[in-house]
Amino acid sequence: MLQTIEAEIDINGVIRLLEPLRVTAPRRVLVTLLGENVTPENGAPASTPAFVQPLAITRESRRQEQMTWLKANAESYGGQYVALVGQQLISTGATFRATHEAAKAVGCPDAFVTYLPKPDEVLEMGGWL
Amino acid sequence: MSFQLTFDSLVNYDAGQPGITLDVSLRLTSDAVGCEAKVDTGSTFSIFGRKVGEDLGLNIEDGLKRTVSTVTGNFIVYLHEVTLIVAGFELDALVGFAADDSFRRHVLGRRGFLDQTVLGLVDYEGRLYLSRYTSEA
Repeated sequence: MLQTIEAEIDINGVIRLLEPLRVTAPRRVLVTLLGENVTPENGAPASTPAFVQPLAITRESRRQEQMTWLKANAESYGGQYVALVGQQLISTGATFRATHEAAKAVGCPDAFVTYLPKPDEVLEMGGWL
Repeated sequence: MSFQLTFDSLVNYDAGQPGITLDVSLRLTSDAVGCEAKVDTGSTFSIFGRKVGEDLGLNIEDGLKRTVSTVTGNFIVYLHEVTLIVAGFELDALVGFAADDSFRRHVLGRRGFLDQTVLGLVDYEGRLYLSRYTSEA
């Protein structure tokens, strides 16, 4: 999915995003320079916040956010599959397939999909004990 | 009627061992921890010994605490999200680590492993075929 957002680049090459942008994994980008300089007329007002937060949350912080969500929501969502991106619930379903397909349908093919057991659910182990 | 599946990876395992045993690595950040695990279709989740989780740097008790039932009794595991690496495939999955450090078995179970893969088995030849499931499979 292609996404275009407005930004400014200064003479040092520092890019200042003028809109919030959140990605859930490292993504390739193309930077297209427009044929016009930034002026008071076409530039962002000085009061416009620069969205300089990291473009991608790291895999480890995402993992920690997902674990936090799983622990906090086992009561509400236990007994089914959930698809998460960080602490954001993307989809739920009765099977891995249904949940993953639903996440893909809303543009999150890399969402973490897992079965979330209920708090009192007893798991099974087969022939190896 | 016949059916055909294609696989990306072939693992030759020792058919003389008690169980279908595969080399597995678990990764949390950059470092991976390796072990041998048995394919266990009767296990809800993949479960590993406590030391594997500790070697990964996990605080075991920080995970989701759950009870696992076996034919000989119950035991406690803590579920954590890790990356499982099996036959070159990387699968992000919730896996259990036994609370009791005397638990030394490692198994690849259904949720998080089988539900993300396509698996073929020819035990007669000691061959396990594996692919990551994709919608094109």
